[in-house]
Order: sequence, then C-alpha cells, then structure tokens
Amino acid sequence: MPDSKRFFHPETIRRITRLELRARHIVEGFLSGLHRSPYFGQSIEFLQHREYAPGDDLRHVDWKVWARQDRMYVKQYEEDTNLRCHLLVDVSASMQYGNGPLNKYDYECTLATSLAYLLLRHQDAVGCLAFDEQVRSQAPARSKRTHLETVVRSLSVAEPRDKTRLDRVLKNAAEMLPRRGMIVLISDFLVDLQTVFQGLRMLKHRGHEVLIFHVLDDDELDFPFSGPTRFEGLETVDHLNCNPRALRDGYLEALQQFLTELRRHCAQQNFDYSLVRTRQPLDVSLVSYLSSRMGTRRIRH
Amino acid sequence: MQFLHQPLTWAFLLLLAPPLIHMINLMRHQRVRWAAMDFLLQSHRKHRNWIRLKQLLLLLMRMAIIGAAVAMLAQLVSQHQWFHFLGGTTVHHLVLVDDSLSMTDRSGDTTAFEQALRTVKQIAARAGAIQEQRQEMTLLRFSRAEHAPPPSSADASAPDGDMAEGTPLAAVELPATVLGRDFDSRLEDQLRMWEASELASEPTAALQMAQEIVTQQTDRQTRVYVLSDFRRHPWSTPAQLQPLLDPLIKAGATVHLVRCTAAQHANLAVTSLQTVEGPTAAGVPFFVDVQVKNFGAEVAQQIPLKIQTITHAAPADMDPTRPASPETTDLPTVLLERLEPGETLTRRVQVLFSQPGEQIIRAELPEDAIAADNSRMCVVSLLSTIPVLAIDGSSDGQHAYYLQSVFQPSQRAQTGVRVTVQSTDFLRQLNAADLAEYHTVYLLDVDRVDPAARSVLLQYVQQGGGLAVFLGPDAHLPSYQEWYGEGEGLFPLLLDREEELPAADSPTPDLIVTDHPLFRGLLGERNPFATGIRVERYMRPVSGWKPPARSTTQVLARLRNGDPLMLERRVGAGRVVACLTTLAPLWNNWAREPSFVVVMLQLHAYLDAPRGDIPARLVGTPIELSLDSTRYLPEVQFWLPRRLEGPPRSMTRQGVPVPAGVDPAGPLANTPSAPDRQPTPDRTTGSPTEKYFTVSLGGPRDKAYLPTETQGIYEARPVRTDGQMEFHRYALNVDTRESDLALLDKRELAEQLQPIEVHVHDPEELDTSADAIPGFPWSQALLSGLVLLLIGEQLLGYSASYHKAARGYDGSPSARVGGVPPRAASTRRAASSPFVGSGRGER
Repeated sequence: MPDSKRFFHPETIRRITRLELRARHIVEGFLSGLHRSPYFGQSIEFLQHREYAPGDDLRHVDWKVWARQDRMYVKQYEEDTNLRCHLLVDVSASMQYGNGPLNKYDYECTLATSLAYLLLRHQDAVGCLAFDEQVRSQAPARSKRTHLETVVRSLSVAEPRDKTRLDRVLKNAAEMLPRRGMIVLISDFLVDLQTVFQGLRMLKHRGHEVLIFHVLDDDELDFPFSGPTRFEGLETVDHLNCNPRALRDGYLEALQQFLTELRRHCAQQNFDYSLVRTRQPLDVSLVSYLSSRMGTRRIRH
Repeated sequence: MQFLHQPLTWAFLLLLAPPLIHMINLMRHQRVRWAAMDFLLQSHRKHRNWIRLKQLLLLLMRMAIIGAAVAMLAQLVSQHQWFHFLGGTTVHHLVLVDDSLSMTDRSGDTTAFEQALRTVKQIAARAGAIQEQRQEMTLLRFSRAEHAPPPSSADASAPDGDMAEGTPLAAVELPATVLGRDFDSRLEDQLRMWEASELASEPTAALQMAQEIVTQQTDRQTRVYVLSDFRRHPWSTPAQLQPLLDPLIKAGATVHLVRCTAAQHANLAVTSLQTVEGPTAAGVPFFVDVQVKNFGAEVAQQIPLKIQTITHAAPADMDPTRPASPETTDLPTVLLERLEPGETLTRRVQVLFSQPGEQIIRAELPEDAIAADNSRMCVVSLLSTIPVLAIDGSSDGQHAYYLQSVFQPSQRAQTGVRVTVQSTDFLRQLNAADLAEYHTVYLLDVDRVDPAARSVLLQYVQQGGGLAVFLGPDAHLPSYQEWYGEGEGLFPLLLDREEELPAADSPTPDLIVTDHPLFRGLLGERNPFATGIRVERYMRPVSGWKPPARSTTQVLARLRNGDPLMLERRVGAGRVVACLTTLAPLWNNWAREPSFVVVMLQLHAYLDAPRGDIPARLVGTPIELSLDSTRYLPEVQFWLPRRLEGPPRSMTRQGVPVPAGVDPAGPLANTPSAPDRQPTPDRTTGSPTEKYFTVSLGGPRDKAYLPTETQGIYEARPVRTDGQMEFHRYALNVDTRESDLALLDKRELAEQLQPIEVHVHDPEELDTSADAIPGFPWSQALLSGLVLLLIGEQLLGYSASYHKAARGYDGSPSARVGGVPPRAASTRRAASSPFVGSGRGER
C-alpha cells in the first residue's frame, strides 16, 4: 500500500496555497474553476450585477445591494473553466541519482504531488502518468480532492528503473489525451533532445499547454567532484575513470549547451520551462515559477 | 658534479613518490553512479589528450621539484663550464704558502710559518662559511713548486686543468678540493704534516704554477693568496715578479699578499766554513775559516762561536748496518766581540784530526730567530799522508833533497806530505795508473818529456792533478818547446834559451811576485823574505812571448828584468805551475831562503786544492755518485741526517748505467778523494763509458720527494765488488740568502709591484668579502628554480583541475548553468528542510 503522505509535504502546501495556478490560455472545462472562461459562470472574479430573476440561485444574490436599495441583484462572475492537467513524471533510472536529502525521483514526485494538491484544491482535474521507456502507471484526470491519493499511488508504484523514451511516451500521451489541457512534464531530460522535441511538438499540435519542470540534481549542475573517480552510467553500461575536475569545464560546457538548446526550443514552442535543483527548497521553486507565470499572464491581459 | 652533503643524496629516491602516489590514486578512486554520462563522455573525448599531457607535465614537474629541492639541500656543485653561464660560480682559493727557511723566523712562541698555517685555516673557514657559491681550495708550497718534477711528454695528453699525477701540477696539495663538511679535517691532517723547509725557495715557481692553474681554469673565480714573510729578497725585484703576477690579474684572479711576520728580528748566521788551502792529513793541524754575518738591524756583541770536530772511526771499525756514531769534540769557543749590522767577520780556527778519513767540522752560534743558519758543517778529507811524486833529473838528486826537506823537515815536524822520488826513467815508462795515487807531481830539472809522458800528464792534470815543473841546466829546450805545442800543450810558455840575469846594482829584488796565494808571505815592499832571493840564471822565453788570448796561462812572478819566472796554467780540473829556474840552489839561492819553505808549502796546497776541494753543498741539491760498474755494486745505501727526535733514516738507491757517448763525471766525481782511490780509467785508450753507472739521492730520477732537504751530514756507502764498503760524507748546509730577514712593509711591497694591483694584508686584516664575485650563485639559482617550479606546478595543477574549487563560487560556470542559482546560494536561504525556503520568494 503506497504511502500517500510520502510526497506530500504540508508546510510546502501551506506556503503555496495562496497562489493560483493559472493557465496561460483559457481552456475549456467542465467544472467551474478559477480559470477564466469566455462564458459567464461561477467564478471568483466579479464581472457585473443584474437584476434577480426567478430561478436564479439565491447564493448569488448580492444581499449587500438588497440591503441598501431593497432590490435584489445577483452577481455575475466571469465564468472559470475547469483545468484538465496531466502530470507526466519521469521515473526512469536516471532519476534515481541524488546526493542530497532527496534524489531527483523523490523531488519530482513531491513536486508533482504539490501541484496536484494545488490543482485539486481549485477543483481542477488532475491526472498523472509515470513513465520511463513507456507509461508505467496512470491516474485519470479527476477533480475530486480525494483524487490526490490516486495520483500519489500512481507515482509510488512506478519505481525508477529503465531508460527514458520520451518520444514514445509523449506520443502515447498525445494519443491518450485527446482533449486540450495542460501537460506538466517533469523529467531530467537526459535523453536525445530531438526525440523530446518531437514528442513535445505532438502535444503542442494537440493544443495542450505544456509546462516543463526540468529536475536536475545539484551535482549534475555543478559537478563538484574531485579526486580520482569512477563514473558508472545509471541508464547505460558506460563507465569512466577520471579526474573529475579536469573534465568539469567540458562537462559544464556540454550541459550548458544542452540546456540552452532545450530552453530555446521551449521558448520557440511557447512552453513554460523551469529548471529545478533538487536541493532547492520546493516552495522556492514553485513560488518562483508561479510568480513568473502569473507575471507573464498579467502582461498579456 | 658532486654534492657537499652526500648523505642527503638518498633523498633523490623521493623522485619515485609522485608516480607512486599517482598509481595509488588510480587504484583508490571513488565510485559514482552517474546519470549524465553523455556530457561526461563528451567532455572526456574532447579533452582527453590535453588532460593526459597536463598530467604528464605535472608529474614531471613534481619530480623536478623534489629533485631540485634535494639538490639544493645536498648542495649540488659542478665543475662544468656551462654551469657558469647558468649562474653558478665556483670560487677557487689558490693558496701559495712560503715554506722557505726564512719562514722559520721565530717571534715569541710562534713562527712565520705557523702564522701562515693559521691563515690557511682562516681562509678555509671564511670560504667555507659562504653557502651561496661553491668554494674550492688548492694548496701549494713554494718548495714543492720549485722542486716539482719537470714536465714530461705525458703532460701533453693531460686534459686542461687536470692536476694529474706526474705533471708539474702534481706538486699541489688538496687540488681544487671542495670546501665541504669533511674539508676541515682533511685540511687539518694536511697541515699537521707540514713544516717549514730548510730550502731557499723563491716564489717564482709557485707563481708560475699558479699562473698555469688560473689560465687553465677559466670557469672559476680564482683568489690567489700568497702567504709569505715578504723579505726584501726576492720581493724587491719587481722585474722578476711582475711578469708572473700580471697574467694572474689578466686572467681574472685577485691576488692577496698576506704578510705572516710583522717585524725584522735579529739574526746571525754562519755563512761559510771552509778549510784553508794546505795539506790536510791526519795528525797535522790545519786551519778552517769561519764566517759569521749579522743579518739583523742591531749590533750583536759578545757572540760565542762554538767549533766542534766530529771524528768518524776508520772504515774497518764501522758497522755497515748502522748509522755512523762519530765522536764529537768541542774546540775552544771563539768569542766574537762585536758585529755590526750587515758585517761579516771571519775567524781562522786551527783544527786537528787524529783519524784519517772524511771528518766533520761544525761551527755553531747561539740560538736566534732562525735556528738552521746558526750552524754550519763541512767535510774534510784527511789522509794518513799526502803522496807526492818528485822526478828528479839531476844525477845526485839534489832537487828532490830540497823538496823533501820542505815536506819532511824532521821526524817530529810533519806536514803530512810524503815525497816519493823517482828518476827520469820512471817518466819514460809512465802510465796513468802510476800517477793516480799522487796528489801532485814535481818535475825537477827533467831533461825531456816524451809525447807518451806528456799525454799521461795531460790526463792527470785534467782530472785534478797538480803538476809543478822546475827547469834547470839539464832541461832539453826543444823537448819543452814541443811540449808547449803552440799553446795547446801542458807547458805554459815557449822557451827560447838559457839566460843569465845580470847582477843588480839597485836594491830591487830579483823576484817580483804578483798577488797570488803562492806569495802571500812575500808581499810588501819591505818584506825581507822577498828581498833575499837572488836569481842568477833562468830559461828565457822567446822574445815578445805573451800568454795567448783567452788562455788560462798567467804569470805569477817575474824577474826584475821583466821576464817571467813562474807561470801557471789551468788545464781541466788541475793546475800546472812552471818555474823557469832550478829548485835546488844551482841557478838561485831561493832554496836557502826561509821564504822557500813557505812558497813550496803554498805551492803544494795550491796544486792540491782542486783535488781536495770539497764543494759547498746546499740543502736540496742531489748527491750523485758516478761509479765504475766493474769495481762497485750497483746498489748504494745512503744514511740521512736525523730529524728532531726522529729515528736514523736510510735509503737505498740503484745505479743507473751511463749510456754510451755520455761523459760521466768520473768515478766518485762528487766525492772527496779517498785514500784508496784507484786509478782513473784511461779514456784516451777507448775505455767504454757503459761501464759506469750513477747513483743519485735526490734529483729528477729519484721518486722520493727531495730526500736531501734537511741540513746535516749525508753518508753514501757504496760497496766494492771485493765486499769492502766505502764511506763518503757530504755536508749540506742552508742557503744563507734566507738568513736576511729584512722586510718590505706593506706600502713598499705594493709600490714594488706597481702597476699590478695586488692586495696586501696582515693576517688579522684578511677579509676578502669585499671581492664580490659577479654572477648568480648556483645554490640561489636552485632556490629560484625551485620557486619557479612550485609556481609552475600550482598553475599547471590549477590548469589540470587538481585544485579544490570553493563550492558555489560566484562567476563559476556552474553559477550560470541553467540560469539557476548555485546550490550554495540557495542553501544559504534554505532552512533545514529541502522543501521549505525562508519565504523571500513568497508573494
């Protein structure tokens, strides 16, 4: 029985509760959520008053106006659409690396759980796919708050193991998720970038909004190793005996090139991209990301 | 290439440490399971060769650092010239020590030579304290330089600067020895064996050798120290010394003259001790002249001069296996009342030896500054009797009678001369062996001398014999004219006829003598001995005869008419005296005059002088005997004088054959006449010279260094083929030039050597630190190189990424990767939990 609290950190949730996760684009939804919609509906943001008409839900009567004018008006809100968000979480063997309190796998699962909780709290539908070479486990998109445990369970059953095949997984995801929504892809992306781009283009083509959390361990970003070291591949059989400091610059250069290319592609495809360090506090990562995301929306609207 | 601290060279094994550590590190690597292998492999492929090259360079550099550090600590030194261009400079201290006799000058409880030795140690100590440069020292004594073996053909192949054995430079001691840890003990051992010699060594040879060393060793900075007393002799002869010092200066050497004595001290010396000419036979008293000179600057008074006779036993009574044990007899001391500075006094002392043979006379002064010149010895060869041959041409032997009456006047009065009288028949059958035993030969009114006899007489005189010819009425003039032989014969003048000297009216004496030793008793206007001589007849030379040019013939006495009466001619080693009148009172009355005995004794002494003349020998000169191999065994034993508190010393030398064509000096050429001397081989008959061999103590053939350097009596003991041993003694005395202790002061010394720039010091002033030697010190170069290597190693190590970088430093590549703040910056904001930050990012 998976531990639903494993990836659930209350303090982190408390800090991010006040934030709103908003889609950059207005998407269709079944449920009234917090996301803006071209339709009037039940929402948080007030749009206008109209006179009460029989049949209107008394919960929407503005009693303060009735008290002052003795006339009944109902408040009309900008209707929020339901957000259908799917969390695509990489559980391949490379995510097993981690030298701090959390490895990449633990960190990304916690991140995914936090996002799921946030979305479910706003009554958005959250689904989850854990994958490596293929989809290992899946939780359908639901908006019930109790669905969080299902999401956590889908993450827990998928212990990291094989290589990552993002092209295949993203293709499957595109086929499995025909309705437009938001895709949150959490991975270390230590694969061939062309396959990644190919899969992401398919999601884009389906009209999904894609959010990318690129989770890397601090060691992978800083390469702080020193002394004679034997590196053995987590997903490959390659190994290398070397003086790490001698290779550090070359490694960082290659990594930088990789990240630049990934970031450039995301920008071109209008994907939200965020690089996350595993030793970076999770709330800091989320706050930073969500803040920037909201800022982007306000500029546009 | 060598190291001053040899034990530290073991530390070069540390050179193996870097490769070993490298290999160990390869085995003890940490293991990391890594996700981003692609980036790592990409970096590895890109930088693989460069990394390996850096690692190799770093390894070599670390080994070089260890090597340089060890070399520096072990004091690496090298003699290669190219090190000089790298900055390493070797300072060569070439110390020339004057060990001549004058250096024994004692002042208080020390001598000038001991001061010189202390100065050598002082120079070594100061040089050894300098760590920045390699220091070498070479020692050279004046005496060793002067008596170094002559250069041989092997020297030409000797490498430059190589002070190889067998070359003249082999005379140096501690040649170019590095001043290391054990140098002091080596120097101490060397100096302990040194003592001042009794030689009169001059600086010339040492300076020539120094010049040779300096010009050969161009890769060194040479400091030449001359430790001497700097007497006026020879340092006041700049013309001789400047050509020797100038090349040293031009070769880059600095010359330091260190005065090892400060003041001139009083010094008296026995400068001469020799017998007065006259018969020297056992039992006959004779005289010796002793000369004493005051070399000091003050008047000496009441100087007791001790004279000793040292009598050796007869050869038959001597032990051939032991040194001689002579009997010493003190004669009455001669008191010298007063001796002015620079004055020489001569005292004549009568000496008597009862024992024939080679005996010793010794004169000794009281102790003063220089001890060795206070005594002097001479060897006198005494015979039982001195054999003399008289060939009398008269029928009644009257000439010989008067001659015998001179030498053997009575049984109680002895002159030591024994006259053997022969008739003219003996002369006609004469051969060389017949004359060998006689010291002098008198031809008394001999009618003729045959060519065979002339030849024998010529050889006799040439080998040191004395010949006196008295003419008379029986002399056959043509025979003597032939003997003259146009000046080539033995007879000194060409006779014309028998002549009568007219009676004189004036008081002018018939005989007018010259200042010749023969007539010392007849000189003076009022001398009654001369005025009583009357000559009636004589043999007159041809008119206008004069001694040929460059002839040894000289007139000793003339008649009052100007005709020569007595003449002398020197032929070879001997002398011929011709008297143109009779010995017996036939043509004159001289034999009845008192002066006759005096002149005849003087004549004998004069004619016998070359044979009995024992040359004065100085210490250091070799003793050489030429012996007949048919009569002597080739091995000769020499007994040397004892040194102070030393045991008797003897050396044995083998004879070296005299090659054909080389004229040997003659048997026992350097020995005094021996009583049993055998006839000299007749070389005119073609005796081969290969039958001679020479035996030498000292000299170039002697491998031992200067065995005759000590003053005293040396005894050679050749053994005849019949088993009899002979004893020949030689007195070697010091050269009294060394007795002159007059000093040059510092200013005079510098002025004498101008314009050559020399540094004149007193020992306590000797400080050559001002001679700053240009160039970079080698040890400092090692240190500088080590620092550069360390800096290079750090840079290369940093370049090869072997240095630990501070984690999360700003500006590092990691700070820019992904645009994400580095971990350290993040963790500074992070709380204990990785999930929760400080809230600064919250809105």
